[in-house]
Amino acid sequence: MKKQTIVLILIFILALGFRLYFAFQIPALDHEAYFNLRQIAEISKTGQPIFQDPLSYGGRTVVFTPFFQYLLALFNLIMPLALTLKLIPNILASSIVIINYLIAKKMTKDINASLFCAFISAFIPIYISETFNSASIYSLVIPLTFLSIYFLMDINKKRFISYFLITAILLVILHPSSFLLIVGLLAYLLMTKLEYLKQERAEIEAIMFLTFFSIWINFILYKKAFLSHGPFLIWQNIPPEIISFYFAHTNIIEAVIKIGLIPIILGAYIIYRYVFREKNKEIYTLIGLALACFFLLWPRLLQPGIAFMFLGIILTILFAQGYKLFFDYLKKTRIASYKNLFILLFVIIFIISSIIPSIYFTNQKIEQAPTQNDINALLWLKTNTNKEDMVVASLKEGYMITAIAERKNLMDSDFLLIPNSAQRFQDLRTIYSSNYKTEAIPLLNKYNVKYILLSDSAKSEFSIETLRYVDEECFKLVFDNQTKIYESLCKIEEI
Amino acid sequence: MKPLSQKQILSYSILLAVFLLLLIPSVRFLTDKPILPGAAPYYHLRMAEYIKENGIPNQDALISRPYLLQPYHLMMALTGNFTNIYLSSIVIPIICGLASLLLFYFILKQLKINSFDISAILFVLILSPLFIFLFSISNQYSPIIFLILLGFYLFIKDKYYFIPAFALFAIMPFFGILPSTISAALLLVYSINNKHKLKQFYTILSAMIILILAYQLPFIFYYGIPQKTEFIQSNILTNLISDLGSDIGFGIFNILLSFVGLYSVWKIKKQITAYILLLILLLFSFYIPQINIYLTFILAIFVGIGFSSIINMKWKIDMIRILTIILIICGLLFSTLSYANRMLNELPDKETIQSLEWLEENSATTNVVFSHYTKGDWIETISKRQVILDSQTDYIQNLDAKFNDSNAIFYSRNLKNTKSILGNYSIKYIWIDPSMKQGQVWTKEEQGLLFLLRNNETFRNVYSKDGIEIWEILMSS
Repeated sequence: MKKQTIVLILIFILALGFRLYFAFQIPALDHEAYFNLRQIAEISKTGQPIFQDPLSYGGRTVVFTPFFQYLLALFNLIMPLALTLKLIPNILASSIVIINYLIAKKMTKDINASLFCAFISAFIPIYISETFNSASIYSLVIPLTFLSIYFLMDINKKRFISYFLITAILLVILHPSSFLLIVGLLAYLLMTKLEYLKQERAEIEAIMFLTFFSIWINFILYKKAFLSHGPFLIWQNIPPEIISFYFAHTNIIEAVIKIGLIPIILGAYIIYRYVFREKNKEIYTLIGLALACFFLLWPRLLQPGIAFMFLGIILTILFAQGYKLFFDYLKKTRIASYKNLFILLFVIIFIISSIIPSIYFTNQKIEQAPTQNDINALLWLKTNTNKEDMVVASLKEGYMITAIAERKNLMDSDFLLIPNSAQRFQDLRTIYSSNYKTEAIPLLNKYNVKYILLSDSAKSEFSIETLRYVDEECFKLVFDNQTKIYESLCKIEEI
Repeated sequence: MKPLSQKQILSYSILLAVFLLLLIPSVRFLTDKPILPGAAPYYHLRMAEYIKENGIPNQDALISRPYLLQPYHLMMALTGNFTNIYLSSIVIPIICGLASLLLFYFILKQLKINSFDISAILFVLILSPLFIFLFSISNQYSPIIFLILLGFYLFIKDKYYFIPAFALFAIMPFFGILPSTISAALLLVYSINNKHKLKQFYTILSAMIILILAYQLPFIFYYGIPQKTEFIQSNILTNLISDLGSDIGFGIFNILLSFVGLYSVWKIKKQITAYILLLILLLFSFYIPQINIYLTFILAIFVGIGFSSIINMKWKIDMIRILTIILIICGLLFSTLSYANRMLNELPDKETIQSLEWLEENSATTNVVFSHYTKGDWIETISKRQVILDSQTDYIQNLDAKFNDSNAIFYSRNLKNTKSILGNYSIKYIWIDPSMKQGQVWTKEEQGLLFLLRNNETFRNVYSKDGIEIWEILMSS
């Protein structure tokens, strides 16, 4: 086995080990992972995902493509579900190390730069924190996106055409964020045209096919949602009160912290150099994708978290080129003998700006994850309440109500096709933050809510310490273990 | 593969068009639904029936709105002398569609477009949702399109056909300012590229301007420009793309292919004036969606050329070529079928008609019926009763006040207020269907008026079947 292969495997193991170390520190998954957990459990049980969900929002249609869930359900055949959701997404997400190495090697033809790039890819703070414990679909979407780009770079080789088509089609079927790749590839074609670079017929054909395919598939899959929300589907019918949370404004400092200083500086330099001074088709593929992220992020068409994950990886790959150019330049200077010192300097900056933020953000995610008390409360609901009962919980905990307690929730974070989602969110907020039971009880009656879950997460989401209107007459505390559950007893009727 | 002959192209196109244009009426008929879907066809039907029986009115008989003759109504009323008007409102668009297709084919031949491109253009045109809307659902635009195409064909043919072409374009102002403007723009673009036609163009333009001034302007002068209603909400993309719910929008693949077509045509021949016209029309279509209707045939040329250039492109990878072509055909079909499916399930259904017929039989002719404005045309046409608002909102007097009062009736839980507004409009019946309860008006049970209807001193349920309710108002006005 070649030396670099061994080093690459070690980097992969290190990346995976880092992720798993944090993932297994807590028994629970991130809140949003419980959607996948429930879907995978259902697929394992019945072979089909839940599209007509009787529990979410008290009953609704769920619009999604279940490819990722089916993939995980396959692993669920040989290992427990909890282990599947902790292990497999992390293996998939860690594969970015290998993919980035391949792209960097193709681009720079420099093994040291490619290995360093692979190493940095293992510690992109935002990518780790968003995927290490959430069974997030992005742990597959992101590697698949960059694998497609890698195959596209070599599309003149016959087998790579098929590989590109397979990965890109999978990506399109997997998740609508594949549009980002399409926009990126179109931007790439535009850049090569503007720079008078030779465009390969095969890549034009493949990109054209992919564009048509992606539009068609997404129109078919999300037709109902398109008809219901029109172009506002981009914002997923998120209630206006919280849309700024999902599509928040961002700034360069946030980007530096979430992506890492080294990739940002050298990556940005490479973008500048190859946009204004030099020409390189392979680099344009990545710059095209970066431009797509930037131009979708700017008018708030893309969530910053997602954009930063993509940008982080793009800049990390571009870093490899920057690294190569830097050391090539260094060789020509009088300080060439200090090469190792500069490598050490890179490593130190990398530790400070990437590894430490990675640890910080992962710990932060662990702190925000559901506690054992929350899980116990939900299990109590599962065993002590009727199947038809509706439970109100914070927005984050909506999926947990349906997945663990197996009860109806008032709301969760999937707003697609939900009529009056803004009104519902306002009602949810009133239920938690109201001072008066005359205000809260009609709302509890309106949605037939039987139980209220008051966890740390709900307290922080609605900035409350307790439900202020609760009294013994109308509310019974049925579970109390840091996380509380209240049963709603009263009804208000107009006479 | 042997290329199709001219005759084959035409006959296959007509066969495909006949099939698609008969699809919506025949399936609706076979599934026991009223053949005419939506609201507007019922308005045209009512006006044609009125004209046939009473002549051309100045004022709409059932709603406070002036009436400016639409030639389509006259056409339906005249055919009503030989046949049933309902039947003619089904047949006229289909005949206009087939005739327009034929004319379009001759125009494309006249413009020296090659056979392969012609077949691609006709194929994408017939499959476009707008073609189906125009020529299988009763609307005032189908004869206009036919006349524009006929006039244009005669105009480009040779100078001997100028007089009939002149006559056809000269009557365009009777159909409206928009079709006249678009016809003039079309002729201008053609004349700029064929300088010898400029003189003829100026003659036609003069006649059009004089007739617009004589026929349309006094009406506008007297009644003003139609008020833009804020309550019929729409947005640019929803208006433009049929797959996003627009009745008069383009399929998403038509839009994509039109870019390819524009690029291909630009490479061959830089038609700057045509591009400017298209750009202007597209820009205005964001605010006046009816422009899409007139763009159908123009855009089809670019879409068809885009499609044929993709087929004829030198492909390196044959597999991608085949996949792309299959995908485009599927995409075009998807928009068509999705639109057709929407129209097949569009209201009114049999139950709606039954309830409205019941209302006609069990109410006095002077009674006013209240409902959502989208139901107004059905109530006026089938029950033959007055309403507060219908979907033809142009020139309705005190439109915004009526809309605000309608909302007050729908959403107020104050009986006194509601009674007062109902009294002001002398409303005798309230007609409610399931769609109104499922989000069109109300989202909750016992919301607003639904709560007040429990008051049996004011409201009496006189009809309740298949989710449709008719409530009689008992109070004295």
